[in-house]
Amino acid sequence: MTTHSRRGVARQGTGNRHLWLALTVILAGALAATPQGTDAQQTASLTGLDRRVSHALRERIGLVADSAVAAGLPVGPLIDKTLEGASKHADDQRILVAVHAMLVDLRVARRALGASASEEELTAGVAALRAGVSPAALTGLRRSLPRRMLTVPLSVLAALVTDGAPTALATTAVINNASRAGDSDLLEFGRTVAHALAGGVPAQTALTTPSLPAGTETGLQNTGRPPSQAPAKPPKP
Amino acid sequence: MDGQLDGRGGPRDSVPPDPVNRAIELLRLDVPVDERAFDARVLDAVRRDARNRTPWRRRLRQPAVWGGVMAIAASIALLVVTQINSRGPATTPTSHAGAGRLANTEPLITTSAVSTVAMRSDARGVQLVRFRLAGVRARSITVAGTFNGWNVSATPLQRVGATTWVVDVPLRAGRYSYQFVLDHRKWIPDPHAPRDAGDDFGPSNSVVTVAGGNGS
Repeated sequence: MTTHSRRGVARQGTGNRHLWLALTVILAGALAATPQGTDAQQTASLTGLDRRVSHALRERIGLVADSAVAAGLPVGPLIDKTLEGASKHADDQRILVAVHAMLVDLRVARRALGASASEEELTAGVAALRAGVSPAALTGLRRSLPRRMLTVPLSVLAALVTDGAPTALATTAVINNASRAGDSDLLEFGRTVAHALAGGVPAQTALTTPSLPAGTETGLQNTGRPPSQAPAKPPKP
Repeated sequence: MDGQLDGRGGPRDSVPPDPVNRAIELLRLDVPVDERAFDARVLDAVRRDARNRTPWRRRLRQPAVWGGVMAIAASIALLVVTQINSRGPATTPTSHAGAGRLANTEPLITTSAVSTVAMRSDARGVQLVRFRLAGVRARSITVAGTFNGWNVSATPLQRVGATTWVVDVPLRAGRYSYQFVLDHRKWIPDPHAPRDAGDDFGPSNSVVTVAGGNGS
């Protein structure tokens, strides 16, 4: 090997070292910035409780959070529930009970929605469960909309059931609308049905009235009632 | 070969000193050397060699170096993207008059008769949500919820009329629970927004759902 070629090999080695160093930086950066529940982020979240709750409660919430992490569940909803209780001046025991209940519901939601469900979907799933939607209905929604983010459909379903719509009818209506409309239209559908229910329209009528294509201003889609009876929208602020 | 080597395998002692041995003896003699000048010459040679070996223009032409530069650039870009996309609840609320880019937009949607919500999305999928409460007399009103860690003082509403209060909060797609807080002590749900079913800590919370893109 000549001196020149040896120098070339040496320079190439230096370049490769740069490349590997940069790749290491990429991996380290990606790990540090990964948005979902690493231990470090869990610790950071729990640190956020320091000034808001007692040390004893923080320790016990930490144990619950450990259980969540071990089960592959997000810690965020548990922290949110703790902070809500602290801000509303609930006592430690009540907060702990609420956080435990959230953990249980998150487990049920995870089983119903599948391992790939995001934190936002799980939170919306818990809301639907608490509104009275069955885990089987959540699973049905997942299977019917396999590639869709379910945060909005679940949230609309929870609102409809909370407003008194029968679960089965509401689930079917949400699936039908979600399969052909985006989130914004689905939210509009939910508001329309809520208005109808508040106005005394029977749930079955409000939910099963055929929808018109998104963006249509006439008919029953947006209001659940004839346009002449539609509630006037307030002026833009 | 007979009689050419002694018992140790070396040349016999009878061989006279040759030029090689004389050269060895000469080399063993002390030679005066100017060490400072010698060091300077060596260092100069090393510097010249280093300059000639890797000029920066030639380095920049090497693919491996560019690979490293590209990888570092990619890592920085990845960090920026992940930081932007990472779940962060609420960003800084904007005043009604609004200095922010989103704050100057008009609402796309008004979802209830009195209160929440006005929305417009920016390029990152963040939407401006307008929390509005009317018909309430108070010295101060704030909104606390899952978007601000239930902090009762982080997001104050501004009075825009005798009894009308407003604040615009940029939020990412998701479902958020909240309540209004009057005078830092009285919690009231939004009278015109959907409500959570749960009641862990008193009256159930109001809910705002922010759509993300086309939802698929």
